[in-house]
Amino acid sequence: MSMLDKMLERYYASRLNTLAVTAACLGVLGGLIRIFWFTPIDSYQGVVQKIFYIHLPCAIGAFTAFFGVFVASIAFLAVRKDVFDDLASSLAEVGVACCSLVLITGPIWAKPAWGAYWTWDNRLTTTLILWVLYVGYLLLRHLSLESEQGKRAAAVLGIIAFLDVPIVRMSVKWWRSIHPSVLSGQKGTGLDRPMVETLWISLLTFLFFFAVLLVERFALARAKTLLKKVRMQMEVC
Amino acid sequence: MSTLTATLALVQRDFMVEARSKEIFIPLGLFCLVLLLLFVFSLSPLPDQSRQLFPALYLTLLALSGILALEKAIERERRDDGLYGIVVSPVGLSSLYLGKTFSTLAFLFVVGIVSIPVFIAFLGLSLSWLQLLWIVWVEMLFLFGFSALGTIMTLLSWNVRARHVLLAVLLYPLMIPPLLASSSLMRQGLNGRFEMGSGWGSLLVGFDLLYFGMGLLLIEHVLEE
Repeated sequence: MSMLDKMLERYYASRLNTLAVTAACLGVLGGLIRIFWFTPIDSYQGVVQKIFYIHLPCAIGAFTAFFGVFVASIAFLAVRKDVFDDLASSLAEVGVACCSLVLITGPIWAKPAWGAYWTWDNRLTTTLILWVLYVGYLLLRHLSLESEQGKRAAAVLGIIAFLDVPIVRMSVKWWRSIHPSVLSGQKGTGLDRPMVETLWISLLTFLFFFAVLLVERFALARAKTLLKKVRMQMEVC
Repeated sequence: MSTLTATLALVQRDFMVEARSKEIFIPLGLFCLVLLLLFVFSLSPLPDQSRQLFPALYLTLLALSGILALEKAIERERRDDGLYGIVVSPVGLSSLYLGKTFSTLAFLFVVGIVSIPVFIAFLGLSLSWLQLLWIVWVEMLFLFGFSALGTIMTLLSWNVRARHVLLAVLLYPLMIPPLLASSSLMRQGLNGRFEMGSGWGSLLVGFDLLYFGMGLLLIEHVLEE
């Protein structure tokens, strides 16, 4: 049993999970109330700009999760412990969920802002490629029937697929793009103070929600792996 | 046995097997021709459009044929237990990767070169020798990245159900940046600009080296058993 397993055991034994799930759901609900009722409407784009407060945390969540897959895959290939494989698969699922939300909220925002749901802009296209790659990653895991070779193949793919993330991040700078570069490193975001506050609240609540989701998914994956091991030991006996 | 000798031996072996079986060159060439006919008939490009269309069409057809070449090469190894034989032989895994990458590159390169006159004839293009050489150079760079990544991806999906579909799903998205760069470089060449130092040139070479390096680094994890 790894250290992470012991931590998970304590986490569930102390019923902290119930508290975390409740807090995460209430946090997201509170964040949505703040976004739709207590944040000023953008004078230029109107009410549709509010989707930005959901779109950005999802994008950050997706990129963070995919980076996690990359690190967990390297760790799995280095030490060959199932815990890292389970972590990579859980992170990939959360990442794909976040990336799907990015691809859903983006076009909803794009229609009134750019006049079309989808344009073959570099940022949009590279994000779609990223989504396809990680869906392919999950498909590979599913089709390899959780064999040892399948786990290794998934880890290798987890490393190679991450190459697309810097391209998505830098696409706005490398090529001409109509997509705004929000986290460009330049001073100021062009948002009013209440809007910036909402953005921070939304970032924290959504990322906390994704983190709780990850812990739940990871715990499930660990339980499945440990159960499989017990079953194999029983078969040997 | 040094890595270079082993690699050359593997490439030579692939060519000898191909010379006997003729499983890759002829079917691939015909497939390319059929696809070209389909595209030309469905798009019916005007003469001035053909010039703009050529790079994307040519590279897409190479990428589509390339996946067939990769699958065919691995299918052959699967049928004869050839891969197992190579893995247990004194030839290192890096030599196996290099050999497979370079033989795929050579097969596709020849198919690409042979297809150029057909493209020129069907699309009614008039190209200078310099433009032709530029196209061949960019094609080689594109195919190098394709073979490097394709080989590792094919070996990755070796024992997976529905591997044919999965290979396409995994390989093509990763090949989009090199395809974009190659297509832009070819278009620049057709307009009389032959610059490798541009952003597209660096992007293409960068991705080639990245995929090749990744393949060399990860092959041992892919073919461990």
